[in-house]
Amino acid sequence: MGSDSKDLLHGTLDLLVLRALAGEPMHGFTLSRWIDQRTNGDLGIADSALYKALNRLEDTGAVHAEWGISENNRRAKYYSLTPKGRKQLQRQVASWKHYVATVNGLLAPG
Amino acid sequence: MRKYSSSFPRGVRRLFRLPVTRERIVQDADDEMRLHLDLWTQEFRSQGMSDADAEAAALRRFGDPRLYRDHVAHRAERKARWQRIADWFAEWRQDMRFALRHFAKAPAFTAIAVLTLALGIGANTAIFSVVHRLLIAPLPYANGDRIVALKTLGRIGVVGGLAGAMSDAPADPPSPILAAWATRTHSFEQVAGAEQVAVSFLANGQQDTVSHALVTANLLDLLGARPSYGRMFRLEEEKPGANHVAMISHQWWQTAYGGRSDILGTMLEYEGQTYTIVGVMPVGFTIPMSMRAVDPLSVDSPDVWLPAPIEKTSIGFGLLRPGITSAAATKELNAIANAADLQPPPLPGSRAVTADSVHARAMRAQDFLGDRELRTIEVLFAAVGALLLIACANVANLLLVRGWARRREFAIRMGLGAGRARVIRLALTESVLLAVGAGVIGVLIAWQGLRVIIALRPIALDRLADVHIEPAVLVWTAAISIFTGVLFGGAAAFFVASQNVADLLRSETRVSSGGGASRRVRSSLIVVEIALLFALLVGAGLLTRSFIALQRTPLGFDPHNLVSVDVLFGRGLSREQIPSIRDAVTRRLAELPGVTAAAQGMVPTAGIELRDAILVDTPDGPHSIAAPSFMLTWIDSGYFRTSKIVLLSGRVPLPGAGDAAPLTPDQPRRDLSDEVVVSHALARRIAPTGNVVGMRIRTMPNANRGPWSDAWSTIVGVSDDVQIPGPHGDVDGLQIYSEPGRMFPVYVVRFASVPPNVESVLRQAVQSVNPALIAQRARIADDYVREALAPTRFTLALLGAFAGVALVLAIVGLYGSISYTVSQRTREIGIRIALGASSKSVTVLVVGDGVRLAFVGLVIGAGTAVAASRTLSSLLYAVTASDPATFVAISILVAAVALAASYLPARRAARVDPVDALRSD
Repeated sequence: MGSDSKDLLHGTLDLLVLRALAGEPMHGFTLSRWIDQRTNGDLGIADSALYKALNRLEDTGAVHAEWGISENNRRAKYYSLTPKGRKQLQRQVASWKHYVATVNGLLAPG
Repeated sequence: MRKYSSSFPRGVRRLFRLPVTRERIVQDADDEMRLHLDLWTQEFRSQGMSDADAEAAALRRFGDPRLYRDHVAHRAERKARWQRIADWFAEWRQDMRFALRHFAKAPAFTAIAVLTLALGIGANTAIFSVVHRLLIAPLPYANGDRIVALKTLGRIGVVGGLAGAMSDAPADPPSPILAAWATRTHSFEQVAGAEQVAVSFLANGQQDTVSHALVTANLLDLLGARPSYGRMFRLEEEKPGANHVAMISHQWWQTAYGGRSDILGTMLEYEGQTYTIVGVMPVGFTIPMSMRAVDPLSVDSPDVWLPAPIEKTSIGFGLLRPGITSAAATKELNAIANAADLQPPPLPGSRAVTADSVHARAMRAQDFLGDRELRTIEVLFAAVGALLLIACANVANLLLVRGWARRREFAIRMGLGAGRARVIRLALTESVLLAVGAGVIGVLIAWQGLRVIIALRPIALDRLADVHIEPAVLVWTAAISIFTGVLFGGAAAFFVASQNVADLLRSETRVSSGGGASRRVRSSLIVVEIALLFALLVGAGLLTRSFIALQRTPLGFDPHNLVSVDVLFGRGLSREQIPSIRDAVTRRLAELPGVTAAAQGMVPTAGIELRDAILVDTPDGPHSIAAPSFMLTWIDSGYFRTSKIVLLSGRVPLPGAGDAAPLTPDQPRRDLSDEVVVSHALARRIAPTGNVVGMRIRTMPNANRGPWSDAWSTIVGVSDDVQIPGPHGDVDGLQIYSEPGRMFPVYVVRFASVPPNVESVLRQAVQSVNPALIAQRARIADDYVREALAPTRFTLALLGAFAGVALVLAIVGLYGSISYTVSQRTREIGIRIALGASSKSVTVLVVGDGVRLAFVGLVIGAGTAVAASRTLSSLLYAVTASDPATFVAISILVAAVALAASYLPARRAARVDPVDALRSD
């Protein structure tokens, strides 16, 4: 199901991760499954790329990571949005929509 | 989802946080990846895959685990590095917070420690600013360290303001020699010249007397300076015809032209010639290294600058080629100056010109400081060093006392596992923080101190007029602050931290007098303090005696309300008119309201210093007096009455007793008129016992000064010696008073009370005689006397202030240390009293401690003072460096202070109630 070579642009990937974490805190597996379910696996993102994105967002302070206990009683790292991450998500969503609208306008016939 | 520890407050969580290590991060990432793969495998299995397929599918969707592990390893490395830095900062902040909290809890201790150090650091900063200004960066120009002044030494006498102050003073070379240097030298990249003349300018439609200077076009370039506005002269403008351009001083631009920006192109008019202003000199620019010390109260900074070729100048400057020393350049200058083609042919009546008659020297700005000034700086520098050591000793003492009081705290810290290094670091943080705080206050003290230094500066140190705290000085201040912090704090910290924890905790319950080692260290510090204090006080004492002696020295004249003024003869006056105009000016000045007497002559002790031999006419033929030099003053018959110099025998020269010098240059010259008066000291040299009135003398120049007359002059009177005292090389009061020479006259005027606008009063009076006369440089004799005392006053004021501060610090230190010892020995003293010791014997016991320390300090201090006072000796007047009276007086003072500082704690000790003392603890 996809490989590193199919990595999306960092920015887009970050946007997806931020959006996924907008609700409940998740650990990595739930996150990858969430994206899969929402996209039917069409994006083909490698899970390692998701983890890299999570690390990156954690280092910039958009995401907070904390160890907790998973549903099946295993030690798992839970990720949640920080206020900073929430703001970043709003900004990126807005700019993505603008981008899509612009490109759509460009591609429209006539 | 459940989380660990989420209900704990943040601080507690941080306390139990596992350290962020590289291994830990890698391990966590591995665990996370394993869980991820397991959960996906499980997910795929539940969708019906076989175990092997599910595992492969999970791995496939993850991507290459090795690449991910590499990424994690990188990240772990980076995070761990940041964490170490952050931890260090956190610890440092913790130390700082702790130290500040500690200071807040002990405000008295903190204030005393900071103030003590601030005084030491402030004094050092101020004196280092002086050293920096005078010795390290004396010229404020880009090429400063390569600029030298080209001078000749002691060849021709110079007009003196202070008798003897200019012996062996550097003089400006004759123009031909300077020109030869400029064209023939290899040591210099370039040579520039300047010449200062006072003339009257018609500027801005208004006649104004301004000082003007001629400079070669390359002067600013040589210095590495730029005009503040407009441009410097061009080389071709040095030539006659093209030289009708001028630059003006920044000061004059502001005052006379209001700083107008259209100043360039404005015309100046001078003697019918017009000059176009092309530029404005840099702010505060004056001829560098010009001889202010020679006639200190007279040289104005030039306001108008005109271009001139180097042949018309005599104040020379050179820019050394990189790598050439001033000594090497001096060698070359001498070789050029003494070259055969520059020597004029010998003239009859003068001594033969020897091959090495010119002694030239390339002088750096530092070289202009006389031995006396260098010694002053040395003494002050040593004094502030001693002061800083005393301050350090005091604060180290305080810290030791506190350290001892806090030994339990430190022991507990170490018992709880704080490393020895951490405890030392904490203590060092405290002391460096104290020192840095003291450094900041010290800079403020230095800033104020420099104002005092500027106000008190003697003329020989006139360059201190604009001394300020340079960035380089701040670097030095920061360095000594941190150094002192480490020095006094390190000792205390190490001492405390090196104790055995168990011993420390145990000693708390033991009857103790403060720990033997701590006590020994404190005693040594007190001894050092007293020794340094003693040396400082002796220095201040010796200078005080010098100063009193200087003030008590009879002057031989009355400087009060005596003013002298120079009169220049402007254009249009013939030489034949000079004698009658000279006398008319005397009469006019005497008639001024408020003037009691006026005469020709200079302020007593001023004159022209001549190194010529004096010949005495004896029946056995002419015989010469062994005197290195003498002072010549041109006077008229009213001079002695005006300056109130007592005529011991004989009379004053009769008016018209023959002019000293011929009116035309081609006639043979002479320095003395037909009738002269000599000072008492010179009379003793001429005839040690007999009467000199009626004897005949003449001078014989040792350098070529033109055709020389061999006519004799008769001594008609002997005057009392005049002197402005000062511990500088003297001309021993050897003075000849002669009728006026060819020079422009100088007048002395005795007022009932000197008016504040004395210069303009005199200028108007002189101009009312003839408009072509220019009166300038009114000098008040009292200023000369004050100026003669200024070097001693300067050194005394500073050294006295340092010694005073040292005295206070030593009292505080000794008192503090003894008080503390007493409080530690309360129990022991209680036992003594309980066993029958009288309160007197307890007092003696405690005072004895202090006096013992003071005595050891005194002995060491006396040795230090004897060694140090050698340096001081050249600054003293009428007192020797090992003056017994001073040493005894200071010993008594220090002993008394030690006694007083120990007596108060001793009294407290004697009142100890044995029951309370034994119960406590």
